[in-house]
Amino acid sequence: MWTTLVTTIKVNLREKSNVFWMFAFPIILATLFVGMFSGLGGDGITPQRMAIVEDSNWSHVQQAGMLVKTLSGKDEANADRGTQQTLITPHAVDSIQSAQALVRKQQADGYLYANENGTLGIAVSDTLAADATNAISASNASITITALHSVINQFNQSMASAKTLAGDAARGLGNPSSNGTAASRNSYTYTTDHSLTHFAPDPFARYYYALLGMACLMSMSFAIVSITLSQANLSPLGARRSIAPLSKWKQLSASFCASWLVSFISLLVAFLYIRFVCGISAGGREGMAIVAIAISSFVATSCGLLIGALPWLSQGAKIGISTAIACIGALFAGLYGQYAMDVNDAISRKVPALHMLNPVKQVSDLFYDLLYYDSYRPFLLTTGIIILMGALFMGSAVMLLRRQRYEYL
Amino acid sequence: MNTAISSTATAAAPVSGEAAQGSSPRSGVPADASRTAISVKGLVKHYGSMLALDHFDLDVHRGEIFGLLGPNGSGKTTVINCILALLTYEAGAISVFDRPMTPVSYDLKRRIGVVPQSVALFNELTVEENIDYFCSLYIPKREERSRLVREAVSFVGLEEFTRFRPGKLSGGLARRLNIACGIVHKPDLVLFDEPTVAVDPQSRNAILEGIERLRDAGATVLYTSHYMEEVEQICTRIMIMDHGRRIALGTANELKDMIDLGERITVGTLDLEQDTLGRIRALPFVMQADYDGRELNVVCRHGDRNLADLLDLLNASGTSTGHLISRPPSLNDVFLELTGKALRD
Repeated sequence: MWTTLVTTIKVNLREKSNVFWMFAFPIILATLFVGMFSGLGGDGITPQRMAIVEDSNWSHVQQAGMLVKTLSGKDEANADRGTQQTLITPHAVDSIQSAQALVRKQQADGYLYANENGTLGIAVSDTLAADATNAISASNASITITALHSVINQFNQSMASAKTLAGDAARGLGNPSSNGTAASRNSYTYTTDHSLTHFAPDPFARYYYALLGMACLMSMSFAIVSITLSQANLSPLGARRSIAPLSKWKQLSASFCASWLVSFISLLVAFLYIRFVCGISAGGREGMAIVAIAISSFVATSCGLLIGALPWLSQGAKIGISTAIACIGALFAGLYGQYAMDVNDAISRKVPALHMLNPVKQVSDLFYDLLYYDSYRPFLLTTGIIILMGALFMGSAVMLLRRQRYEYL
Repeated sequence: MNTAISSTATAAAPVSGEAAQGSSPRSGVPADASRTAISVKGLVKHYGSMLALDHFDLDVHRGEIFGLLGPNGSGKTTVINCILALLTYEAGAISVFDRPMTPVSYDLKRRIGVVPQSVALFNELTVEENIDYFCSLYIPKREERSRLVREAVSFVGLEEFTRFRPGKLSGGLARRLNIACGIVHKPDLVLFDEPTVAVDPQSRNAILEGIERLRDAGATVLYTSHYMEEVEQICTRIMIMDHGRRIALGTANELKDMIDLGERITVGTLDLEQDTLGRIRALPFVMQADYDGRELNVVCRHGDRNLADLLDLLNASGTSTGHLISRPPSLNDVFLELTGKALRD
């Protein structure tokens, strides 16, 4: 039995198409995801070199210095939240002319200045403006410029409100602008950032989890090949092995365990790549994620066992069926983009029972549960569904495999 | 080819019986010492509505190479699969070494080796790993296995190819590997199902020599083939079967005696008269006579004086003769006579 197990592992790992589809393909797909999502996540913002015109107008604008600190990611008040974003790399100058000179020398991408009325403005170089409007540019300048404009507009509005309040207060209370300024400043603190989950959610993590789900189901092929090669009615090699003095159940058990192990290894490799190269978190529960991989590979191997046990189908046809199941399951788990993810969410809201029939979705949910929920209860629930699913597959396969003699070979 | 397996013949023969209880089949004192290695009685097998075996009987004696001949679809492979307890059957009894054969007869299975019709190997394993794997199904001890694998490699002459994978081997080499995997555990009974299909004459000769060495080492061999000459060359007894039934059984000579066909005589002549040809056809031992202007071909019944009587007639008619060939009936003639000349699938 031991040599059968070792041999099955060797056969699975030496089959080139297996190695590509089960090991290389998930890594390639995850790498593509990194490329696709990098322009959309927070990391896509590129800081721009901005000259700060600190002239007399600038000195009259309250909180302008604080704004520059915030934009340059040096606001100590927000540092501990980990939510700071660097939009600019500031370079102080004393006049607009100096700022324009820097822009002309391409030592700055633009400049921030204050008007006589106390509002702030932003000017950008022609190069940066062109880059920002270029749809195929990879610099992400458009995101940065949009964010800068938005922040400065909000700042100007806040300052205008503060002035109005200060005027009212001066008239009504006789005490100057300090109250209004305080009110204005405090308006920023009316909302605070609280996470509802134990870990900061990553909107793109779901895609990687769906990818893991698909990779998991693709690994059914290990079990399909192993079972096909061990059954007398499925292959000449199976017939040859069946006449050996080793019980059918020992051979099947060895094939199942070997397929499970190889499936586990292939998923583990994909998970480690996604976790440590793509930077997708498992919610700080990496240990449980490995348990999830073991459970996931169990359901994949059981499903492969069942498909592999189907008589009258060639091995190629069975692999085709397994690929189709993995791809269709991945569609409804949201792997193929925003539209698929919307379908996935719609099913979750309207017919959640449908997801219970989709092993790709269940595997995907295992990792999702670990990341998003404080409690292990959802994870355990999904685990139960998967184990039940695996047991059903395995039971059905045993019914097909229990024969020792066949009417036809 | 090396004599690693045959070298054990003196120590191992006669065929053991109690090897089933140990890991090395061909050792120990026989406990089931009857002459029969395989006994099949009244076997009936249908594939759907098609009758594949029709009350089929077979007895293979220990230590013999038994040839099972039959056209395509005659039921040879079905018989083998029934003996190996892979196929169900409706009626009949099968015993191997005097014990009923079932799917869980592991003691018996340990004493049987099979070389299947199709090359059934792991394409991802090397030659050596393949042989070792199949050996491991019978022999758990690694040290013993290593020795047996070396001997099997040497037996089939694959020493230079141990690191090759089957896909890199020629057809003949793959067939030899197929054989090595079937005999590596030194079984008492080896079933060869058309092992020489699509191999060159050199490889075929090597395979046949190897089978004879197995027999010399004490093994019993059940051998199926389409090639009459090789069956005639190595088999002690031969059974011809067709439509799931036994048509004939005996030694090669006994089979030849079963049919009416005697020798085929060819005479080179350029001046055979039509009248003389008619007189030849009228001879009592002549089954068929044809003349193409250069050669006279005569198919005869059994007889001691066929050739002499034919030459007397030719001389008497003044026909000049050139070369003369007389061929005794071959097993191929017997096969075609018994199974017919209609094409099979």
